[in-house]
Amino acid sequence: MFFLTKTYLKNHVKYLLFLMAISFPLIIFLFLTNPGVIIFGYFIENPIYQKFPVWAVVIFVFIIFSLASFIMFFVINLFLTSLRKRSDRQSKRLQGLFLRLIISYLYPVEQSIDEEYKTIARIKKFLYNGFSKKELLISITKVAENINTDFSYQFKNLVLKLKLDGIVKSMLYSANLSDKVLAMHIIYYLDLGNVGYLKRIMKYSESNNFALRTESYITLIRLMKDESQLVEFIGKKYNLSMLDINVIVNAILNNPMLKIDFIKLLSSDKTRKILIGLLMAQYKYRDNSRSIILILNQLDNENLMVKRLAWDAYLSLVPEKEGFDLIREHYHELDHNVKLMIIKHFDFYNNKPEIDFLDEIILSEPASIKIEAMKKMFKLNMKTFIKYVEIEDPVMVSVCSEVIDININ
Amino acid sequence: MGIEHFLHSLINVFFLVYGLTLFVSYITIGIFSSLELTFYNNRNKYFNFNSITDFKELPTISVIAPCYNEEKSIVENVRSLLSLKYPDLDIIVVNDGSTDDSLKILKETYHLVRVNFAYEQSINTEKVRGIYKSSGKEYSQLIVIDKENGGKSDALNAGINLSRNELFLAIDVDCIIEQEAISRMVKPFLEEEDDRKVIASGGVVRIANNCQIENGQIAKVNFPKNIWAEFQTLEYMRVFTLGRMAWSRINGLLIISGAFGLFDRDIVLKIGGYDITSVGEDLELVLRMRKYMHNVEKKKYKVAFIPDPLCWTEVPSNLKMLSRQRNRWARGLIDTMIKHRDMFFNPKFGRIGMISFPYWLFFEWMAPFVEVIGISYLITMISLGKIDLTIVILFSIFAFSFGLLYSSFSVFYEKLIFSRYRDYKFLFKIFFISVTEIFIFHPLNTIFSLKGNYDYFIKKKRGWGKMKREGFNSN
Repeated sequence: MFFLTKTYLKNHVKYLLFLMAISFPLIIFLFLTNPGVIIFGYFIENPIYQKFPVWAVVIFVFIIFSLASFIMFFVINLFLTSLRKRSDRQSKRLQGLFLRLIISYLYPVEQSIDEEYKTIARIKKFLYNGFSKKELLISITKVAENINTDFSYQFKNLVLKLKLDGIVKSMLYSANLSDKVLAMHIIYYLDLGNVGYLKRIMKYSESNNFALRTESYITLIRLMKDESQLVEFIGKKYNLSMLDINVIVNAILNNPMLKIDFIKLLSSDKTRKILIGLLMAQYKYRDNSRSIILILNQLDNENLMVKRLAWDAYLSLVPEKEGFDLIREHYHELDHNVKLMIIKHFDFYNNKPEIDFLDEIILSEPASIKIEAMKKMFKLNMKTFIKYVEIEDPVMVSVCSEVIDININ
Repeated sequence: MGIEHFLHSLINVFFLVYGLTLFVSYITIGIFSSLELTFYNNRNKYFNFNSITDFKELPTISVIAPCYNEEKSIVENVRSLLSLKYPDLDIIVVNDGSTDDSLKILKETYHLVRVNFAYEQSINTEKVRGIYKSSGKEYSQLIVIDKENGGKSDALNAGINLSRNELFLAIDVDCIIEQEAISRMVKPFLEEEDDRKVIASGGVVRIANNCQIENGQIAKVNFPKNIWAEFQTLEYMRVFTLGRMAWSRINGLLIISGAFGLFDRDIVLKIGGYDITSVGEDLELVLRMRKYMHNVEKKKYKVAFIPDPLCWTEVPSNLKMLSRQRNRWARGLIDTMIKHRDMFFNPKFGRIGMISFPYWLFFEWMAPFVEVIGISYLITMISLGKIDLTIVILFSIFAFSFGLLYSSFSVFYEKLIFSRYRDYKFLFKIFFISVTEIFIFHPLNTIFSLKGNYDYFIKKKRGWGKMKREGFNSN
């Protein structure tokens, strides 16, 4: 509450200062168009009263405003430099200290309640103001980010014992975007899911500010216990960007406990949801045979990216023979980028149909695909490869030379 | 008497309208850039840019760095490029017919061997003499093209021809790029929304003169010691932090610095690459890409801008080099404006045609003329006793004080958001530079720009000047 009040006041003081700065030219103008002003009984005379026309007075106002602002900015810059130097020093010192204490809290020399109590007491000693509390929270997120083990329970315990949950809540409700983002990071790493937070973060996931939206997606993914909910809220109101998709996929992959209904994603009518489903099928649910049929449906999707990812996922999931049969059947209907991806990523084998297929590709496709196919051929079947060396077509000569040079050098 | 009075009034009205429009433009730029910077800072403050390298779906990128007689700094510069963090990244250095030992040094340091690459001449360039790749695994991303001299644009085109990636980062090889730079630059491409295609993203260029370099990275940011570089430091802060940020806010950015810009390779290929006849190739390319999007693709698109200082470059530290550089910039601007004159106040091109292009024409190209004519006119009128001297002084003080305000505003944002110059000495120096700039650097810039116009129209000069590198203060 205190943090929230402080942020609220700070923001309003900022607005007040801004309003004062805006009204400053008006005050000067009023002064310059009057004979003078009486302040605390003293009469301050206007030296240029009625000596210049009104437009010249306006110029005077701008000059005074500009020079005053110049000096003000200089002073603010000096203040900022000093503040930053101090906060950098403090932050470095505090974060170093907190990191050490957090590590000793997570990996105590002796496992005992007493030891834990002592460490918490030591941390508490340094939590003397809002700045140090925020630094502790940042340190916790840094540790959580860099340690593979899930310590969310311990972190949650630490935050609750230090009574920092209030500051997290205040930051989540703050008007400041960066505070909200930091709060969500903490909630995410600490797994601080409660109904109030969830409701709020759900609201942020519908925000038109994509930075806030992306962060809320990650946090919700981490906090969600009900998988069906997850599928519902993703991309509910706004289209997902590739950043959103990547962030969501990474968040899901980093949370092994989370099971999501990727089948529902794959059968969604929203392109971006299908993309998540495809990536899930490829990276998280590789053993789930139910996905294959749904991926098959997406192989001829109108959206090029869906098509490319569907082929990529499909070929990585099915046995080589099955994959090759499908490639051979559909290859010529595909777009250049999908063809290139297939030739680049598919593990061809040294058998007649596959060598014949690669041979056909090498002879008929443009240089970019030729190169990839020839690289495969070089490794699979040198006898067929030698044949290309004798072809005099300039494109073939250059592609051949590149493949030989890259492989031999 | 009547005609004389009419002309006098007409000229006065012209200067008043011109001055007022410029004044309002600067105020608008100040407001828009503040909004954009605050928004950018808020949304990226806690974003973990390193996490981008773990993403499953990322565009592939080639870094293309043209190099001409850079033997002094080439090893350090390439090392800086090799330290960039991004999956699926090629580093293509294009040796544009250097007459010094640049190529030899590269070959020896990075164990380069000649490779017969299947090089497709999609864009016409000067003859490629050879393509080299490193035999060392640690430098496996590095490719060097050796070609005959054809200028920077030609070298970039050769790099684009060789690249097989979706995006390319065009940089000057002598730049020091921050390790996270690519992750930051690629973010706008990943943030594409509502089918608004991002076709390019530009980044801030900062001045590396006198900075300390370690292992190809900026270890300590120092304010330059050379006066000309000091002036340019302030100028770059104003241009990048305020100007470009504001234009980006309204998607009206016309230029992405040739020293540092990420582009959609496919679109660049479709428009035929960089224009080798232009010395303002960076401005010209963005205009042509925009034109293509309006005329051919007819799709919503965006040119993004990243305000973080990600690229550090050495700037001219003597008057001769500075005059050559500014002369070239002026000629590049004129050339591009003339080539794309059909965009001028053309509603078909939206904000670009109606706001950005006219602004560049009136306040970038024409400004030196208006300034010189204005000052000459004032002097004449004062000597004829037709203008009140007090008013002239009043306006001059106003212009001076507004210039100070504008400069201090950009320094304020640098301090508030990025704070790369951390000592007090910087503030006092930049304070001094802001005051003196108006009397020394600005008039010189005006003269160089006028000379550029003279060279373009009278001497028909179209080529590049020479710039001698001093090399970074490297450990």
